[in-house]
Amino acid sequence: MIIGVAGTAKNTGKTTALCALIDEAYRRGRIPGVTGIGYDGEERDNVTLLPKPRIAVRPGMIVTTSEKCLSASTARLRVLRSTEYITALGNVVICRVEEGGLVVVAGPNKTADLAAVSQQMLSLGVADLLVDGSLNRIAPMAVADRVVFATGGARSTDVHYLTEETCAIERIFAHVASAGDLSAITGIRMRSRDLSVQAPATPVHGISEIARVFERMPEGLEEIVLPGLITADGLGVVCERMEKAGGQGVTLVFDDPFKMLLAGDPVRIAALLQRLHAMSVDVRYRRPSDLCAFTFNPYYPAFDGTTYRAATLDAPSGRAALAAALRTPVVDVQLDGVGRVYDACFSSEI
Amino acid sequence: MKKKRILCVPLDPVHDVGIKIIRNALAQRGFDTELLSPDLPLEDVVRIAAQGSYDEILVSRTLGYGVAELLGRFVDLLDAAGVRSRARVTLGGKAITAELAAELGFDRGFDEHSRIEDVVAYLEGKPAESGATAAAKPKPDITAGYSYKVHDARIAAALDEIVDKLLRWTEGKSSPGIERARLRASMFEERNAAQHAALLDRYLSVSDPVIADAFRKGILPKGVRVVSETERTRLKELLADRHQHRPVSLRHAGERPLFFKFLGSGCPVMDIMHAKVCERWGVDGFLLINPSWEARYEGLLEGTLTHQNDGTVTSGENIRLVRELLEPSTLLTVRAHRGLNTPETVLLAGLAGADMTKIDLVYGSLGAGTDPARLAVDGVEAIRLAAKFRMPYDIPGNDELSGVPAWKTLAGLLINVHLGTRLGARAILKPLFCYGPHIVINGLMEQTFVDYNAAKIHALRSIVDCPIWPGEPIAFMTQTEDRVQSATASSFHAALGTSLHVDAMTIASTDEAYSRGPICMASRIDSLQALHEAARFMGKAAVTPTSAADAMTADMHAKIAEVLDRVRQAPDLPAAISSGLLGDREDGAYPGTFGRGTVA
Repeated sequence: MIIGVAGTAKNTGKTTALCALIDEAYRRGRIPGVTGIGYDGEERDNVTLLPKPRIAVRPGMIVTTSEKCLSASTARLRVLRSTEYITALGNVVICRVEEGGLVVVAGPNKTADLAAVSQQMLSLGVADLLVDGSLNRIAPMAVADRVVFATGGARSTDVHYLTEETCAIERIFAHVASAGDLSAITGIRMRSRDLSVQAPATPVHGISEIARVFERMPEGLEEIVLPGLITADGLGVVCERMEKAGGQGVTLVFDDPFKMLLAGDPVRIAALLQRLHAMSVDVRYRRPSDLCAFTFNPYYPAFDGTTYRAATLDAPSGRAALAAALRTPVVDVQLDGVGRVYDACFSSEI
Repeated sequence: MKKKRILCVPLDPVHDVGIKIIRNALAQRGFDTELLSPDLPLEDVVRIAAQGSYDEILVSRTLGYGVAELLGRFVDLLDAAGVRSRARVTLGGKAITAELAAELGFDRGFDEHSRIEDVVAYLEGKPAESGATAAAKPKPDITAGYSYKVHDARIAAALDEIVDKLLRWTEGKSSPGIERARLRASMFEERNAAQHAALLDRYLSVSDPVIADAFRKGILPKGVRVVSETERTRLKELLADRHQHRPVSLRHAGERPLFFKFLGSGCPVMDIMHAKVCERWGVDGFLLINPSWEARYEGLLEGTLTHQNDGTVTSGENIRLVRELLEPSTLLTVRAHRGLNTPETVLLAGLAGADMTKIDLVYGSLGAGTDPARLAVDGVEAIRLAAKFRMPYDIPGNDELSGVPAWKTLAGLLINVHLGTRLGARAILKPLFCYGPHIVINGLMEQTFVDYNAAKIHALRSIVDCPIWPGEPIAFMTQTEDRVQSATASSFHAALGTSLHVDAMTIASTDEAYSRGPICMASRIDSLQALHEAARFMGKAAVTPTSAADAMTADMHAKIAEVLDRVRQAPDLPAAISSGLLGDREDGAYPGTFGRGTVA
């Protein structure tokens, strides 16, 4: 099982949640593996210079990092494998922890590299693999089976906005897998009962690309497969065209919820998906992902124009506002512990 | 070999200068480059990047509030569009580090100090450490290439005779300072504890009670304490965890002049931390300055010691700690000529691996308080030790600060140089770039600071082929309490020194004369920033003195010759100093009294 810990912004508590999940795994007699898609575990934040939690690992764990980070780790690591994957801090290495301590995790930061390294870690016997996110980066999290989202004061100090955005993320994830194998489709494909129209692959589906494809929309449309990236404006055009054509009963298949998050502001994307839902369009993903928990971190770095200082939102009320609006569990790791998050990550059903 | 296709992306609404510079440099090297406009939405950039089959994508962006998230999203978009499986994505800009690039998901990061060559090497797949010094910097030798030949026959003859008389006068003479230096050398070699204890007893018998109490009873002078093992360990740990950086260069072109700063906060730990920051800002070397009270005591303390006042205690351990933690290419000089421990200080500096020392028999006797006879015998011994350890020594002309005319001061410097040459050592002339009392009283810089300072350099060059290092610091007595003024004064004088092709200069921090305590790091950087800007502004252009400087040079040369003729006629150098030939009471110079009657 690969669990991704993603964040809505820098300093939202990804590493805190990850460290708590490691401890919880040990408490339950499991030995997790850890990799990451950025650089994490340093003493101070690279931008704000405020102290950051560091990743504590225990003997027996398998972790990946980059060569140049080995000397910065206090844990004694034995390199099991030096991979061909390169980061800004050198080649990615897969290590076994021989003596516990702190590590700086700097794993592969591209989706393809993360997928390959994750498989290598699983082949080395890692059963529960935790993937540490980085900033607001989410694309590589498509590799994960399940994902935990960290949010909080560092994303916004406006709890109302945080609630709205978190609900939007929940909505974006709340779509099931498409039926059948659609993995070979590279360009937008529209299919009716009698006809299938496929456009050449394009890297980004914006207004013009969507408009061009919809000019060739067949009568009696049953399914649209939209592989790759779509922009929020492109999705807006999809909504308009579906409304004109009457989209009732049409299945609309996107790649995965992470690419939907990349389309633009989650609140806007969720609203557009809601419009499609309202006209009975069946939205699905080729590769869905289970959103199993949100962590709420009240901490945020307050900027006075010159320097940053540590500040916090009202933790209980912030968490309560989110929890009231969401079906997904919301946990303040510091206040509640991480047990519920762990259960959500590793239970057989969500 | 097919050149790579490179997409240059200024992800910034207004700033695209940096990426244009990079693009032009890459285009000149034959890369196939395309530069985007700086105001495209991320999605459009991704679309172009995905459709253009580029090998490399170079992104330029200054870090600011919210920019990290923007860059993270951009990398994600490239990833999701499949671009990252075909092209590397590199980030450049101010405040970009390798760690930040990794965190943001880029393949590589280049900061503002990275060179075009670093970027090209990376793009071509050649090894180059961005931001790190590619090769070990060689340690400079200020004295290399100088013959020490005296061009002026009259002055050469005078100097020969003065040095002959001095060496004859010192022959067979000794002092407690010389005895202690020899005992210290024996103690350094002695491995037998009993023998070592016996040597220490002899050492303390020719030391002051204050020094003996420190050794025998552990009672250190007021304000002095031992730097603990924990403090030393933490300091080394802190410095071990540094990232390599290419230092700022204080020179816009060429290898000279070198730039030096003082250390001597009293605390070796603070000295080292200041030095490490200054190294990063391009400083080439440091002068370790001792406390003034040390000059009055016979004997030196032992151990890593911190002192709650100006001046860092002279001990082998303190010197070794500073030397050990400086970059190998950074020069360290240790002041030796103030007071009663000159030979011993040179010995400790040599044993601790210092690169240079500071000895001036004339100024040490006139401005620094040591008896002329004592410093004559101690100085000769100290110069012999400097020769033995192959440590060049500089000769500061600080007697000018008392009011001694420049020509007398420069005559004293030349005596010291010639003595060193005779004893197999290599000296460095240190005329002041200052607005000293004699200059003020006589209106010698009424029109400009340039002419008279230039005349000193030209006069010395017309006399001897020897390195020149204006000090100490340059712009002495032109600086005020205003930090901007102080930095500006330093930078103008540095521009003059560079124009005159001097070998080195000592730079004051902007609060050097007014700190009322330890100088602060920001003030050091003030002065270095000003220097850097002055070097950039001047480039290979020069400050040109007016025609008045020629007359001043000729007058200076003639007066130096006259002074040396008078000194030549004195029975010996101590007698010449005591009788005021190199600076008298009218000039504000008084022969020192420390150590009077101790020469045997």
